[in-house]
Amino acid sequence: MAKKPLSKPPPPPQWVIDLNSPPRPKSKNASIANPPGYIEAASSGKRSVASSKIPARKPPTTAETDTLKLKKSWELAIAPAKALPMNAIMMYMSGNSLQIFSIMMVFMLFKNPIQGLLSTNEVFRRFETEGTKNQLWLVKTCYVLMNCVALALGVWKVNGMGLLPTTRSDWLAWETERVPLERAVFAFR
Amino acid sequence: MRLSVPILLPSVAVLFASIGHAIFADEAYQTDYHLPLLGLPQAHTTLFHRPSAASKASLLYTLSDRLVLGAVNPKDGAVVWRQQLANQAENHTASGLLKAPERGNTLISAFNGKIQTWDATDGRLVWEWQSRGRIRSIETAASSEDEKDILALSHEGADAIIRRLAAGTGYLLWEYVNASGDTPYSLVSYKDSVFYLSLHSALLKGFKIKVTELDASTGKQIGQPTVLNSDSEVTSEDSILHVGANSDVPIIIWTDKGLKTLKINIIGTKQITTVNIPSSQGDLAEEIVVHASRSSTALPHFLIHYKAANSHWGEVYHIDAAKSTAKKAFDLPLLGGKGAFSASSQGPDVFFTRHTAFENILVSSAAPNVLNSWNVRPKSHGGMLDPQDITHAASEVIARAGSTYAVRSALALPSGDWELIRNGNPSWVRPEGLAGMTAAAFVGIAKQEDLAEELAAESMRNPLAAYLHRVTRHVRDLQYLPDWSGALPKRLLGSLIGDKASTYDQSLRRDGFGFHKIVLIATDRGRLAALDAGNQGKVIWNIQAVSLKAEETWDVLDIEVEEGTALIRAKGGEFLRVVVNTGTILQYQPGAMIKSLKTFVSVLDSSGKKVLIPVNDNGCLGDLPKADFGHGTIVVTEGEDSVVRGWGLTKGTNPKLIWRFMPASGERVESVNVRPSYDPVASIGKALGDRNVLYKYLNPNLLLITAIGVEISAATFYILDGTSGSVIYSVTHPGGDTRQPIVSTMSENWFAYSLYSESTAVTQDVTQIDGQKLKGYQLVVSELYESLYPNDRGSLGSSTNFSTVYPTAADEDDSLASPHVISQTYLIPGPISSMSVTSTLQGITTRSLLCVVPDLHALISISKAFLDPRRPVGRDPSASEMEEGLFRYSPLLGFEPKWILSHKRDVISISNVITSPSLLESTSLVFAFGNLDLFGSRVSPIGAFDILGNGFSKLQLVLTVVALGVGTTLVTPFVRRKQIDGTWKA
Repeated sequence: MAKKPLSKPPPPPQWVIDLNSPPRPKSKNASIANPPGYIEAASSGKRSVASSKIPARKPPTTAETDTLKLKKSWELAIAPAKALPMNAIMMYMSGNSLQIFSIMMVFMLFKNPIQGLLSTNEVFRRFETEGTKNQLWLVKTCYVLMNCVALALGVWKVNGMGLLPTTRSDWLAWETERVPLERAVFAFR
Repeated sequence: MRLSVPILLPSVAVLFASIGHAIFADEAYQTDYHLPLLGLPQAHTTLFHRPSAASKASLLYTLSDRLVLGAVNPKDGAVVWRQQLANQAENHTASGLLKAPERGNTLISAFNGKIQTWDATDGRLVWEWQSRGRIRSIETAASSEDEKDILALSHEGADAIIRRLAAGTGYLLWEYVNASGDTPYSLVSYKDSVFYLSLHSALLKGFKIKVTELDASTGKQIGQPTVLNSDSEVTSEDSILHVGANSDVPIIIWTDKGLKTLKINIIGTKQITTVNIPSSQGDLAEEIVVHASRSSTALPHFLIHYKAANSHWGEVYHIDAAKSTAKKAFDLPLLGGKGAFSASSQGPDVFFTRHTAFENILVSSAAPNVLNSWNVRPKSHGGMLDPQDITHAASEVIARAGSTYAVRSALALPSGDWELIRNGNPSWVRPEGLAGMTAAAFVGIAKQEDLAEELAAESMRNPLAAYLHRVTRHVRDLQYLPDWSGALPKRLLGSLIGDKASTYDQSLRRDGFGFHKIVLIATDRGRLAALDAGNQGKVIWNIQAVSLKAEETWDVLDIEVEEGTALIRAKGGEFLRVVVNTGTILQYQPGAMIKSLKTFVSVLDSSGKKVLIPVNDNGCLGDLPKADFGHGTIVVTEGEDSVVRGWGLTKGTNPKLIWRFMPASGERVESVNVRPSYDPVASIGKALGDRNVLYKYLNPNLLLITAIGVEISAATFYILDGTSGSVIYSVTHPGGDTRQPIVSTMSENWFAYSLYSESTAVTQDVTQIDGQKLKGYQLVVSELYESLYPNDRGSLGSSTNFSTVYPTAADEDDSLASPHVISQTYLIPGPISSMSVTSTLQGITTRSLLCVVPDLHALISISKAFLDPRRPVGRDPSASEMEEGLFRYSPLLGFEPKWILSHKRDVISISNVITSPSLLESTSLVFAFGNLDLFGSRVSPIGAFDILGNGFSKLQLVLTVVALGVGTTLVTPFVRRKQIDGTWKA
């Protein structure tokens, strides 16, 4: 087979060129000043700068991370309490009627604290270290308490809706009529 | 309950909208039934008559034994109009008189001292006139042509007074007083004179018939009275058989006591024709009736009807006016059985129609040959084998061209049925014998195939035998398959299209809703009948349970329902046991076997066996049968001496008197009420708006005694405990009218009564006007609670039983544990003559008060929700009261037309209402009965919440489902393709 010797490779298509040479980031016009407070550091640029800086920082000690973790766990423990005012307002606003929205809201009101209570250990597992172990029980107790407060709000709401069997009329069906010991037979007609 | 505020508020509105309706328009005439009865038609007051000179068709008029004047359409037997001449409470011994003037448009009736004329077409009262004495006879004056004046003979003290009253107005034209002291008997008007017939008592015995002639236009006596007979012939008024008033020639026919001879006189002459009464083929006549045409233009022919013990025959007489004699024309031969004759005329022709149990024979008065005869057995005989006699008949004969005749006869049968026969064809039957009901009871229909029994039998056997038994049972069941599958398309179609009438189960079988029940009724004439309440009140059977003498009535006290049978207890210890489905009498014990015995009461002994205990008239118990009644069984009786007694049953034969209740001096016990025997209570307390509980005072032994002080015009209501006899509560209403109906009822923990008295309902400042206290009809509703305070069960606390005879130590201080009573009074527009309460299966549905309002001719249903005594007075209800469904009290309670259960029906003379639960909790069966009418319906006090209404279209539902199914199937391929295309395109 006769081969025609390749004299010259064909020029690469335009798209290959485009691919190989991406448009350069626009060079900033040095004559225009940045707005005040703007620090010119693109994310990538900053990252590169940061990464270049981090090795310079010395790693935190275990005591420091423990303190941080404890701080973080406290934040988590208080979180349910932060939602309380909002929930309380919502519940107050939704009224005591039995409607689909109020029922769903009450359901959520119960679901969240109960879920939280069930997963208490999981929530705080990532903060659990040798150092924090001894102090974490306080955090957990606080968390449980806060969830209980949220639950109490739910119970208050359910009571407001009249769903708690706390009154005499709720147990009326189980009460029985008194039986007379004597019987009268009537012979009038 | 608080949770229900938002649900309740709109639902209360819906509730009140729905409880307002006693019956829906599409259910009217479907679920209810009504028999408008007249009472037994009387022989001399039953006639065919044209309501006005212009009308072509005639109506059938009757004045019945219960003094109801009615017009019946001869075509279908429907009542055109009815009027009651006497109040049912009025004691009526005399029968009424009825005259229908020829070619007039009014009817004239007289009863006691009252003459009334009625529009014959619509039954409206034209005028009425009251005399001081009893009206003995009424007659129309023959003189004037268009409007005929009325002549009336009344017996006032010793005087007989004849008056002429103007036809259109009832004004008195003249008055003739006859003070001879004779007993007035009758009046006959002939041409320009009026003949007054009186009975002059003879020296020794018997009467003389005295005829006095008066001038019809002035009322002056003409000549001297003539005396017609010798002393011994007329022994009483019954001896006079006929006074021919309106025939062309006035005649009087009388007989002697032994029915030996018959004397005929043309009034105004002295000549008397004497006829020896024949004894045809050896049968002696026991009763003689004369039939003559009422028409003045008809020929003077009359028929004498002889009734023997078991046969009858007749003789036709012609009057020769010129010679003033009557001559026998021909005989109508003797026939077996008791038959009836009736006379009618057309123009001058007089026809006599003879009715026997087997045939109708039409003869002309002129000749003895039979014009036409039909073999006919009246329809009301039904399946009865033996033919019935015919008591009396009225007929109308129309002669057509070619000597054909149209004959309509209304036959009254001894059973009380009233039947019309047209040209030998039975046309309709009216069960008039059912009037005068004294007692009724609902009876559930027994299961026909007892599946439970069969299944029990299977479980007892070994597996193989049980299997064979089941297979044979299923094979046996296959015989019903063709019928069932044959009826299936019709049933399906009927239920789809909503044709309720065709889906009614005509057979006597239980239905799924429990609407199919038998109503057993007993009448004062000794008849017993069963109606099908699920099938428009159709009569299932109707028997003469006891045979009574003419004036006797059957006083049924009570109907007790047992398994498949019913025990009917009447006065004097008489009782009767019948099979409910067929009416077969199983056992009969005549009354008055033991002197002063009133009735028996059945008491269960400690082993659960029924023991009958005799109760005497004076309220004492008879000797007890040997039985062990256990501890604390007390029989409460009401004696004739207005004393209510409680008797303790012990082991011996002597009952011990435990307590006695006597009302205050000057009072007598009017009635005693107890809670209904079936009175289930769904909840023992009432949940308040704040979710506390007011406990109901529930005591099955309560008695509500109504005592009336006649002289002080006061009514007192006592609530008694039936075992200890202690008065728990009492209230007195002074200044009433004790002749007005005072009725009461009790159920669950409440009682209600209605009376006419001084009003306490309106506020204090308006109760008196000029020193006069306001009076009116009132309805009072009271509820009993265990305590005034919510969540409190009174002194008994949480104990599960109680004894009022031996109170526990806990209530020594307050030994009666008296309930807290809340009452509210409403002013109502009219009297209530009977009150009862609906009854449902579980007692969950709010009860409804069923009241008979005689002024409205209606039965109304007032929901208890309207009558809650806790309704706030003088202020709007608070939110929690609104939750309970309470609304502001207003003292006036109008009977809303929506409450009327009998809607457009004219229900008259009902005095009792009974109720029975159906299998649907929402619905109660109702049956009202009394002296005349019977009415049955269904009532849903708070709406029929557990059954689809007639408005629900099953067809629409099925069509929607089918359309959806078809649509889905059609669209499926397109959707699938689109889905696939979409996947590819993605």
